[in-house]
Amino acid sequence: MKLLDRKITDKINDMITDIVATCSRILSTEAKVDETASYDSKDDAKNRLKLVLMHDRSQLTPCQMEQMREELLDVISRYVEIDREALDLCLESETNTIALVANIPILRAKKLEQDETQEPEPENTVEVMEAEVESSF
Amino acid sequence: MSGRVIVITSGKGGVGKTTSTANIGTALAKNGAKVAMVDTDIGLRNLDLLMGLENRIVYTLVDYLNEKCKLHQALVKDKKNPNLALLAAAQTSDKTAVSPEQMKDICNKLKEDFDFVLVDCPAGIEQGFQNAIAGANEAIIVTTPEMAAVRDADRIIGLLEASEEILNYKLVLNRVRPKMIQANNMLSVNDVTDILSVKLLGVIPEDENIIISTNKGEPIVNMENTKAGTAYNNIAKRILGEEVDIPDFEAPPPTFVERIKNLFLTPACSK
Repeated sequence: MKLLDRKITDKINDMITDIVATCSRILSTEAKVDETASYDSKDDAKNRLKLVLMHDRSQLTPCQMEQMREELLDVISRYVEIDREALDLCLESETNTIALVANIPILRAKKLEQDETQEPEPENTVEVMEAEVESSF
Repeated sequence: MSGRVIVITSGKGGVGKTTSTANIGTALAKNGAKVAMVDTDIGLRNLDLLMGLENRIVYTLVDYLNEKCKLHQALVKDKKNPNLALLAAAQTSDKTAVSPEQMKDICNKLKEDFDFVLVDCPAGIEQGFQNAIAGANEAIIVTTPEMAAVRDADRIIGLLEASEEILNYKLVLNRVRPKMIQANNMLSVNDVTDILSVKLLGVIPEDENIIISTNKGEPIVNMENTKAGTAYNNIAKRILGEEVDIPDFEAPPPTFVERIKNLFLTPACSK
């Protein structure tokens, strides 16, 4: 008897899980969640594409970018003291043109040998120098 | 007679170059033009399959270059349209079997007898691409609204601009899914033309009938009332100089209320 009882309860259990599964499948919000929760992924695609195409079109290798960065730093640090780590050099695009944008935080002005009368800037002031070099490719 | 030589190219593989060549070629021929299609994907030819002509090929482009046959012998006539012919690529050679000069020569010969010479370009930007564009004066760039395809199309545009032979090029955007665009989950037609700053020749909506037409070896422009077939027909008309509007795939479809409104408004407006 007990064995039979167990078999019946097992069957009922199976049936209940089946029903629950079917119900949850019908009521499932998965498809809806997919639509509502998905943010505008095409904007991601567009932005990423713009960036990658800019680099493709400029035909600058990452190595050349790094070299340019180092050389720019050397030239600029002849005139002003800068935070070498904070230099941000990147490409930006506008309609049909690509701009090389450098964001260079200046720590203080350098005392130039020729110009000794110049007042030294107070320490710790951080200025931002922005250079934009535009060129069309 | 001096026909137009148009190369169909994409950079990336699998975006629909060969399908576009087969359908634009067939549609141009249906409009009365004499068309020769040249498959330059040597070693990986497929245009014969899409046209359903794979059993009729005796000589190939490479056979002609090796003087095993005359050019007219290598041209396979289409099953339905006598205005349409195919010059198949060799399946056993590789891309080095042809040089750009030879391709130029073939295109120049073909354009004496045909209104249009459509060159199906292989994927990539190596010698196969250089061969394919050598004899062409116009280009159609096929891409899909996917990042990799758009990026490769941009590279191709750069190379086409550097080429002195290609005088103009236009874009065909393939496999567009209006619903995904409306949900902002696919690059829109405008997004792609903006990013690439290129003129649009046509938009092909995603259509399962393409697979059926490939299975049958029958270009989709020969199937009645298909979305992709209509789009390809319109492209052919635009190439022939007709002005056909490109439908707006970005606007959401009219809602139920709007449709009912239209139902009542249309007769009122027409009075």
